[in-house]
Amino acid sequence: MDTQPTTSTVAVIKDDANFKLWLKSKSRAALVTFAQRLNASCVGKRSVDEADASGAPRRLMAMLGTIAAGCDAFTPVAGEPRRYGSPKFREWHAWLRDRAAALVADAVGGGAPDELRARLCASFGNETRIDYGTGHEAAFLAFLYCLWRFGALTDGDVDSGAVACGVFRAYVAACRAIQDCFGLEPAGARGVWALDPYQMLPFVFGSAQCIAGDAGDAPAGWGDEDTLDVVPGLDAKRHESMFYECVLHVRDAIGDARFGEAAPILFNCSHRPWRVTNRRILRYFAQEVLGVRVVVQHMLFGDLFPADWLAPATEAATPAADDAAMETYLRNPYQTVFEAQEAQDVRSPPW
Amino acid sequence: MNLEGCIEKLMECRPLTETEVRQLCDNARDALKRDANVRRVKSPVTIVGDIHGQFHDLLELFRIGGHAPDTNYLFMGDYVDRGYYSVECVTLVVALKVRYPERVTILRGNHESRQITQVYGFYDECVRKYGNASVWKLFTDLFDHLPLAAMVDERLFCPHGGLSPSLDTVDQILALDRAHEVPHEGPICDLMWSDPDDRLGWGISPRGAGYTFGHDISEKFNRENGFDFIVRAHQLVMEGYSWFHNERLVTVFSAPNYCYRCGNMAAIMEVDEHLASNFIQFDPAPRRGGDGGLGIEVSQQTPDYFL
Repeated sequence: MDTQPTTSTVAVIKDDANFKLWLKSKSRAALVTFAQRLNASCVGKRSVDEADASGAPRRLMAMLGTIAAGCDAFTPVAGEPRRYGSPKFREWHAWLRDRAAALVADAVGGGAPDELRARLCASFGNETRIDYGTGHEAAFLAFLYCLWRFGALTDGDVDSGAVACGVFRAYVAACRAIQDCFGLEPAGARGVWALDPYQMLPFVFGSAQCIAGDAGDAPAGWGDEDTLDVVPGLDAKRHESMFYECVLHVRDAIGDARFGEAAPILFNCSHRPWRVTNRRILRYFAQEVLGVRVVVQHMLFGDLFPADWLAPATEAATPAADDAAMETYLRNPYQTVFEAQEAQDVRSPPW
Repeated sequence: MNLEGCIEKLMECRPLTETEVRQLCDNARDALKRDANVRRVKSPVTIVGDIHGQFHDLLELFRIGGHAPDTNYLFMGDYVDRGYYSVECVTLVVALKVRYPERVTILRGNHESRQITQVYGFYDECVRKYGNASVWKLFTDLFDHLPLAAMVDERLFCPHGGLSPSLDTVDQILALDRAHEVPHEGPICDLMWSDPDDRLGWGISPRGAGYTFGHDISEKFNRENGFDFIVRAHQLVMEGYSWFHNERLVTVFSAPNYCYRCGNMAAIMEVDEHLASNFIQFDPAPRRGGDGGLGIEVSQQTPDYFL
């Protein structure tokens, strides 16, 4: 089950009509804007460890550590019947569901709406299918957005980089631990033509971390063109950016294969300026995650992040967007923080 | 055309020219049109699941399972997308079909589709290797003619994905008009997209296409059509093959260490002339610094996914 029967936080995008309304909804625009804001908060910032954080971000990082450590009690046993992922994941997920309300209450320092609990439970994979995909990552983004809407995260938390470079990074670490422990199946993966089988947003926020004020048009340069591998010594820069952490994770995951063959799209990012990579992956997330029906059919809606199109009373005065406006919106669902440099960025190689 | 020469070239992981692909697809269309929607296959035969552009592993599969025409092959679809060498994989299985039409059967998988290949890699790979989309168009036009399923000695039923609530009998499948793009719903879509499930009856598929079906559905379909069990592909399996539904269904997956990191074994299923089945598991072919290399230039030639 994706949701518990007691919650009013539910998936509502069940058909094309609702999907189209979601695409042009205020909620989708708000979530994209929130991602963009987190992205802007990362520029030039190093990653934040729990010890260096304070307040709600620190408590959330501790919560994510607890969630990841919970796996240890449900280690898969050799020889258990499984198609791919371990059914032990279902036991771990039940453990999380039992504790989620208390974990959220501790993290926000008091009573919390049930919507936050439901969103946290939806952020680490699907217990029926034993898989994980970018939809679960988007669910955690919505969880952070709702924490901010609720007031548990302040504008200062969001804009200082503590949320993206600290809390979100801790979320990715927890997800990696859970994926590894239970062998979660990558949901809807694009194989070698993806950045990573599971995550996308750490590449967004991580590439923003690497943008320096005077970066100019220099290529990122972490990949070796001749060996088609990651340049030696990148491990030492792990703490500078989630992007490097992700690159190293992919390198470790592919074993003997050459990086340029096993992850050609990611490898290409080494030959582009960080700004360009950042802008493109953020746009890709907005369109290919938040704009894909099989992904957002699982997206939960509640009071803090509502299916606003289902409340016609407040929308009555708003005329429906015409087709041309819709087209424009779908092509450019938000304005990037680096718009001023956009014209000079568009010098991508012809295929 | 020089088919033998083409197959030799492909075995070295070298793509054919656009002209050669055009001729090959013309010949293949004629061969596939002679196959019914549900192709009758005689044992012995070796059944193969998803390949997904993992060319070196496909060669390993032939080393293990034997080469056509010494071994008869039934490929259950998903030759393209996700891997690095979709062009070489699909060209090779199509060439083998044209060369040995009676000994090789190639089915349609859900990835043999215009829409899916534009998202999961085959389109971009074609444009990258040929400089334009014409080879992608030739292949995806050909895909419309691939059979929907096969039956081995009329005792094993082999679709790519699974069953459909719109289809009770093989005769109903035989009556379908298949020569179109894979539709978003309906019986043809279901054969390509459905998955078996622990829950009884029909369920909504999380994939957004096809259905999930319980062991009651598999048992009823097998009983009413005289099948021993269903052999299908379509899902990643840790051990390469996996029995399900009280041994009324088996999943076969033939791409080892899927996408370079899933750590799974691959398998093929040998069915002998007495219909006894034997699964052969295999690991990824050694690759690094080995034969073939990358085959093509990467980096600057890579299609830009983020534009």
